[in-house]
Amino acid sequence: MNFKKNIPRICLYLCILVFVLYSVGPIIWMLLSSLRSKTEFFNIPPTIFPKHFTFINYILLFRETNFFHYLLNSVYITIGAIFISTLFSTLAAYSLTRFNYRGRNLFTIFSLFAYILPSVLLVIPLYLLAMKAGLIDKLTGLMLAYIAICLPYCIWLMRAFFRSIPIEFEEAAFVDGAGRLRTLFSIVIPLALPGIISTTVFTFTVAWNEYLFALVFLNSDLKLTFPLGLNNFVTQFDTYWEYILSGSIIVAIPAVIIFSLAQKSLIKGWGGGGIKG
Amino acid sequence: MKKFLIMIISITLISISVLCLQGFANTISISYLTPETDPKSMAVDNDIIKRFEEIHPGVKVNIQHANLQDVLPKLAAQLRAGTAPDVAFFSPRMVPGLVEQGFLLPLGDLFEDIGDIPRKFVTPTLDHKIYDIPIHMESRVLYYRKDRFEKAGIKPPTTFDEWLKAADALTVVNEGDGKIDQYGIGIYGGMPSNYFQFSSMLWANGAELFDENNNVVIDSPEAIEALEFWGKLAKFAPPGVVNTKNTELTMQFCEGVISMVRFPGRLLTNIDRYNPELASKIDIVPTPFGPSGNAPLVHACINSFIVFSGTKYPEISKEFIKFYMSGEQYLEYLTTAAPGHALPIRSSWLDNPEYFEFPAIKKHADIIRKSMELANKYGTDFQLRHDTVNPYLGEALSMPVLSTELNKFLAGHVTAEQALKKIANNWRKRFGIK
Amino acid sequence: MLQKKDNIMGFCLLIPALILVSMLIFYPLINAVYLSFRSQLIYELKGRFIGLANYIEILQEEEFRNALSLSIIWTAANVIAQVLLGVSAALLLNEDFKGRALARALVLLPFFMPTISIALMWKWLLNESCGIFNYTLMQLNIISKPISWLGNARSALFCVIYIGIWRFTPFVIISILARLQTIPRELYEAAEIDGASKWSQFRYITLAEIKGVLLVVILLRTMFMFKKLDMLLILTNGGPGTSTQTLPVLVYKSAFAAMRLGKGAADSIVILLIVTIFVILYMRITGKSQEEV
Repeated sequence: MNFKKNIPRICLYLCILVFVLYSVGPIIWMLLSSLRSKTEFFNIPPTIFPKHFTFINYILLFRETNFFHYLLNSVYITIGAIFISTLFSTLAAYSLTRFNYRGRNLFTIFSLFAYILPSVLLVIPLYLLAMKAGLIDKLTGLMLAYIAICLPYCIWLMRAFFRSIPIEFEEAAFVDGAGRLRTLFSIVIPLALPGIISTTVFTFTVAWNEYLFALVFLNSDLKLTFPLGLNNFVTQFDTYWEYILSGSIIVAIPAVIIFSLAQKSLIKGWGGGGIKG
Repeated sequence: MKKFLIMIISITLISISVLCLQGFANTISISYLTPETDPKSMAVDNDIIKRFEEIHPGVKVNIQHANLQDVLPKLAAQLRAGTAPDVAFFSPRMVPGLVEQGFLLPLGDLFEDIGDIPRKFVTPTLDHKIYDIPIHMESRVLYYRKDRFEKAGIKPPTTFDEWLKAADALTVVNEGDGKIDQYGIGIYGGMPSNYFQFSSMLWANGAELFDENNNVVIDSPEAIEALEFWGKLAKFAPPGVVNTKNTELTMQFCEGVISMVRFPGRLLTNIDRYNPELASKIDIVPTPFGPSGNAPLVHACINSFIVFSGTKYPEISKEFIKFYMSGEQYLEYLTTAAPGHALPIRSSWLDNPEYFEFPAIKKHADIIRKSMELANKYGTDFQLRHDTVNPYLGEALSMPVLSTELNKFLAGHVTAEQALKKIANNWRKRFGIK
Repeated sequence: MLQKKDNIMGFCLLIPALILVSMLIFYPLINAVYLSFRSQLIYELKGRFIGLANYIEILQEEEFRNALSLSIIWTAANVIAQVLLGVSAALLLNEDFKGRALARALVLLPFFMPTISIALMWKWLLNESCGIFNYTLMQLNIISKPISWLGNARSALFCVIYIGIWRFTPFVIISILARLQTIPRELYEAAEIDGASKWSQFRYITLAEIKGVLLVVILLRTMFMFKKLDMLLILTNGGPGTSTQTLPVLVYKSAFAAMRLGKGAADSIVILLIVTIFVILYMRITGKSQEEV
């Protein structure tokens, strides 16, 4: 009888295992490739496990390139972008769903157009604007550009979430005497936390991985973000696999760690119920 | 609440402005744009800059990087904003276009000053002034496995015919019996730069892209012959020719998958990295010529320094170029980042003992010396085919129809004649020429 | 509850976003429209006015129709697969099991990695000489010669679509999973007590709850996939020939790579119009549900 109950359980674990392997399989291969020396990169026939494991690529990455600086720059920009874009988009989404004023729907639709123009076309006008504001070759300038890119989607997503939160909660708080903003921060936002995590992840992905804007906005070597750094390892004649492999793994790790920690706290804090009794 | 928000916005705007008003230094500063983005090249550049700044106190050189294909949007934005760099390391194919727009500074005096760069390698612009200073030449010769040639009892090819026969003889394909397949030659079919390798075939068969009167001649019978030959060669290349670029060619050659390859760039350094034992088994010959050609050929891909006319410090910029190309600095440039790839173009260096004694060069001294001789003797490039340069050259080579049609031909979607006719007609229409 | 004073404050909350988004849209859009009527090389400071010539050129381009149909195939295949796979995975990951947090984080990796890393990685995996896929298939005797995955017209399109699905499904997973987590458990418990089957529960509770987010996700995935460029450029550059040359790739090559800013602007406006038409139709069709979105 126990066995019968366990079949769906086993199926569940199996499906999840398959899906996880499908997702990270190629990346595990990349990880294993990064742990081998150059002469083993293109083994024919190809091998999954290297004959000799070595960390030399990671050591070389930090010793021979400016990758460490690139990482720091990316971290700074990403954290800034996440904070500000989450803040602005939450405020904006709250404004769009809980208030009524002219142009409300217009803004929503219009902001989508931000994603329709190809980046190449956006770059030159934005460069000129940033030039006038003196933001070229400054990390903050790039951060603002990323915030601008992320906002439309973040606003959309937060709107969807806010709409799903019944207004009764806030009304209850009003009755208790709380002001608008207080209600926003103490009641609505905790309920929309998963939505905020979503937008955080989206902003993270954009700010972490973006290439074209970084290329045009940044000049000095030490200001580059790591997508530029990685791209610089691919030249017309050479692909510095040793740097690309190790660099890619290094930038993937914090993402995994941070997100899984965030998930843990999310699961813990979420009681699983809204309206009780 | 409203006040609170207005305060926040104002603070943000103010802090941004403060950041922008960071002190303007009193030093002279020039900026140098280069596509050499790999770590070793960056180290070399930074070293040279440091020394330059030591010799010229009060001068600062800011270095900027952008890959060759990304450099145009960046440069365009800068030109519009008036923040173009002073000096740039550039492809001479773009020079005529930039000259036409008035963006470049004539460098005739600098050329005389340096003195020993062969005039034939400078881009011949319409007004016969010198706008670019060639910094190095490459030597895109045919590398081959002399051990395999000896084993098969054949000599390195000098004509198309011999080339095809050699590729055939060296191709050993085993149907899934676990042994590595060997192919005669590697072919660069991937877009958008496949036209480089094809152009060598073109010129080797006596054909051209444009003739000396700026007419389009890429669809001439000799050109079609050259393209068909390229297609025949590709039958002896590993599968996936349409996606093969320098990276794959290097890998294929280093791992012994192919026995001949036209120089895919930095080959000697990569052999040292991926398969050092290969160094003693290789040799080189110039590109074989076709039935309608009559002399061997080497594509001596030139790269040059240019100075933008908007520079505030022309003399310092020229001084920087001269410094870069002299003595220790030139030696460092040629031997550290890409030894054996970027070859000295200054005649006085063709026999420079210091250069050949340098360990990275000495390892492959024979091949490098031979490469230099061949490049000097037979070297040519897109902009050097005639006495003056077609002003459309840069744009013509960037048009996607060129690489796409070549790629379609290699994929078997069109015939050689269809491909070249389409390119030719597109060019004619676009530039309003015959 | 909604008083005028409140509304002004509400509008103020919007201001920061409004400023930034306007900069990102207004100025470049106007600039793009202006450029589209001119002929200008990317390094020219001024161009010439040429009216509608750019637009006529792209509509007459023989490759335009091919690119448009490839774009539609690419977008449709990607979005459908991403949504189906993404929603299924989100449902799985919403269950309670050990290692859940880690699984959720791992599953997002394809989305988190830089484009160039995964594009190069896939090229390597699919390589004819040293790629592990071909080698494994040959070892298992499924094929006797290596397949050129990205070098054959049919398989190239299939492979890039597969890679697109692999890379962007996590986007769907995150969004849907987040919404799933806010569905109160009581709803399911009540339905269980009332005797509803699992399928009914899924249809009437789960689907209903995620509908809002799902519609947003579908719209955005469609827009993003239609516009996708950099991955295709690195993987195949539109090849072999033009077999994976979607509209953005065509625009990039014929306009930006060819240094023609005016044409690039006009082409981008054409893409913008196509996507706008889709968005309008989409809004109409999902009609009433949009009230919730």
